[in-house]
Amino acid sequence: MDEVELREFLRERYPRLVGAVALVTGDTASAEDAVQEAIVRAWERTERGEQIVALDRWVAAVAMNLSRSRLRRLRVERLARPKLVAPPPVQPSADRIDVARALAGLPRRQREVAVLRYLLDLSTEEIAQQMRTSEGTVKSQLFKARAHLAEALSLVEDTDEENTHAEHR
Amino acid sequence: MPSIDDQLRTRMREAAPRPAGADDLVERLGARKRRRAALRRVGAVGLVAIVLLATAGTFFALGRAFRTAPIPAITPTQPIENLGLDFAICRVMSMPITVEGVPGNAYVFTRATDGCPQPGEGARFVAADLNGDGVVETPPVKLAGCFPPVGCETFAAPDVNGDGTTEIAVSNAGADGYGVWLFAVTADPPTIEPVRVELPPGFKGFIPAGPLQFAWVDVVGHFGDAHCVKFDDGSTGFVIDSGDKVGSSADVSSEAFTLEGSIMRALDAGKGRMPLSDSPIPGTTLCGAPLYGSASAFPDAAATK
Repeated sequence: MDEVELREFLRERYPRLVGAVALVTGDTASAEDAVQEAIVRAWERTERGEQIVALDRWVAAVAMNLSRSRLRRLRVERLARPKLVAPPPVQPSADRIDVARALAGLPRRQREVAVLRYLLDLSTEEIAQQMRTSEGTVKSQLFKARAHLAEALSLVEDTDEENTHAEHR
Repeated sequence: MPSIDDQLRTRMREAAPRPAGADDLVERLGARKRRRAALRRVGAVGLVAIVLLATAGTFFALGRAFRTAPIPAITPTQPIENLGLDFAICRVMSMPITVEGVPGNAYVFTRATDGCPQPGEGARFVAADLNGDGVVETPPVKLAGCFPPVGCETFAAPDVNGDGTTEIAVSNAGADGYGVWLFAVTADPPTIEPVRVELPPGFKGFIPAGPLQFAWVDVVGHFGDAHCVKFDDGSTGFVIDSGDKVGSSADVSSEAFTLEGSIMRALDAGKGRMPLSDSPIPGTTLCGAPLYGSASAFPDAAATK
């Protein structure tokens, strides 16, 4: 990966990858840290002559793993003492709060599956590879996550019957 | 109406947090890469050192095994080796202090149980030897908030108010950096007390009243530190900063205090944007005093780096 490729990757893919990890972890700063660490590791690998076929998927997988281990540590920390001085909160939009809250209501793996699917547009096969699980498990978790998110966000879609009525009207 | 899948795609794209804009991201990634390479080199040297130490330790242990009276690892009956305490201790860390011009040492240690609790576990204390004789004169103060994997450590011994007596800073490594507490030392009677923050009525700042704690952290998007300043009247102040990195600038909140005994009185608080290069990013000294423990390699030695 040369500097031109790196700059292009940072411009085209970096924001969305940070957004994806942040939606899973609920913390933008740590998401940036995890994605940057993953990019540096990818950079080192390519310098050693290793081929990374799909860089964005590779970085997403490594960043998610890094954030997962960080979350474990944070849990211990939160139990033990108040958080270190936190940056003043940025006022998020109401929609962002709704989506974040809906995602927070999911178990971690379902949250990760949903974000990989809907934000990073990975196929169930790619998600299964990334999470080292079966495609069936991914489909099952995606089904549950979708149902929860749809209910939490009050999402509805036209049924065939309604469509038929609409067409008749 | 779009399908639920399409609605979820749209909502997530709109809701996904955006990273802070960073013009120098490529340079920062390059610096991070170089730091990782340096750490790997240090790790390799450390591994060799550990192997050598383990080998030497094995020889030493074998030698001891042939003695008729084995020497216990913890010697609660020998006061000097025990800092003069009436209980067994382990995981002892020390740093030099000065009390009314006399050199001594501050110690952070764990009360031994059947063995030695793991770092961050068991009861951890801070105490001070005020004259350098190897015996602590101050009653040990139990530390709160020490948690694995690093646990509480000696952090620094700065003279915050310039009165010739150093304060004792103790830290605990967290996910992003260090939480730091400050203790004031007095010689007569020999005591150490947690420094407490007092706020004037109606004062608006980000440091709460009560036991002083500040962050020593430098991560993507955020930093926190403390430093000493000289006021116009020649007195010394203590400033705690909390900053958010915004591209090549930083939004920095600062709160100034003056230390009287063990009371840290808030004087003023302010906020402003400044170039990141001028911002008070924490390093390896606190008010000119070097950092000890794992923080001596800050920021690389924080618990999770």
